[in-house]
Amino acid sequence: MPPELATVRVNVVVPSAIEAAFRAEVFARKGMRKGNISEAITEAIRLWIGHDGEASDARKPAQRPIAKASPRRRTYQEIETAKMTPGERMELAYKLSRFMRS
Amino acid sequence: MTELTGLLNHLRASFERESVAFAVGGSFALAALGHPRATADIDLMVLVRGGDLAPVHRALAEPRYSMRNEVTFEDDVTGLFLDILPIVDQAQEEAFERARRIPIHGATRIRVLTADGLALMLLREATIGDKGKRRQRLADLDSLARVAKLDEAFLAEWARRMGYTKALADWKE
Repeated sequence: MPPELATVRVNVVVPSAIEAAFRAEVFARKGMRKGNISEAITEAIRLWIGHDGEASDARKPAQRPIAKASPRRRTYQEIETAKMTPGERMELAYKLSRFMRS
Repeated sequence: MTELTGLLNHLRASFERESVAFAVGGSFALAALGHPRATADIDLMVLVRGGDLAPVHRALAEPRYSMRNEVTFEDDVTGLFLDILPIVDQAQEEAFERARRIPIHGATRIRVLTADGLALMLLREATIGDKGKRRQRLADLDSLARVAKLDEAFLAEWARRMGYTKALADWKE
């Protein structure tokens, strides 16, 4: 197998609230599908290190620009759910609950 | 019909049979208002005389519901826990009266707390709950404020009246 296609299993410990929010966001963007958490984690790692393997600004605090205060940006989930009816949003909450229990 | 719609339809019919008015609060109200999040339970505020839960218990005396305690039932179809919240104080009455009927797919209309009513209930639960519950309720209040415009004067007045001022101040920090 080419090295770029080989996979490894990574066990990490993260705050449960972050994990729950991440799963909800993945569910909203990619739906309930096997492997989508792994895909999203891979995308997140790529963003962190940079697509070409170079460390991102997040790894180099000394080089980061000073953050300017700005209004909080809406997440993808917030933008998408704003288009739904109240009933559809309740259904989404229920599906998220099933997803988290599964 | 979806499982959730089936549950809401069933609850509406069962409670109507026993003349019990109810409103959906908690995480499902938060979802309806714009912030869906995973939850294990569905809060049902029920209007019962003198806190008498007998009509509620009769309404839920169906094979699909398993009684866990006097105010908690498990729905075997959806796996959700039904948290029964009898209305016992003025803040709950206010939230209940403000609740609006919203259309649910496949069902008629279900009464759901408004943003201000839900915010008031979150402050109430943050005040009377333990540390973990308080943190979760204030986080929910944050989420609610991101998706709905809250009436700050209304919340301040009710917080003062009901003794929720610390929870309100903690949230605003």
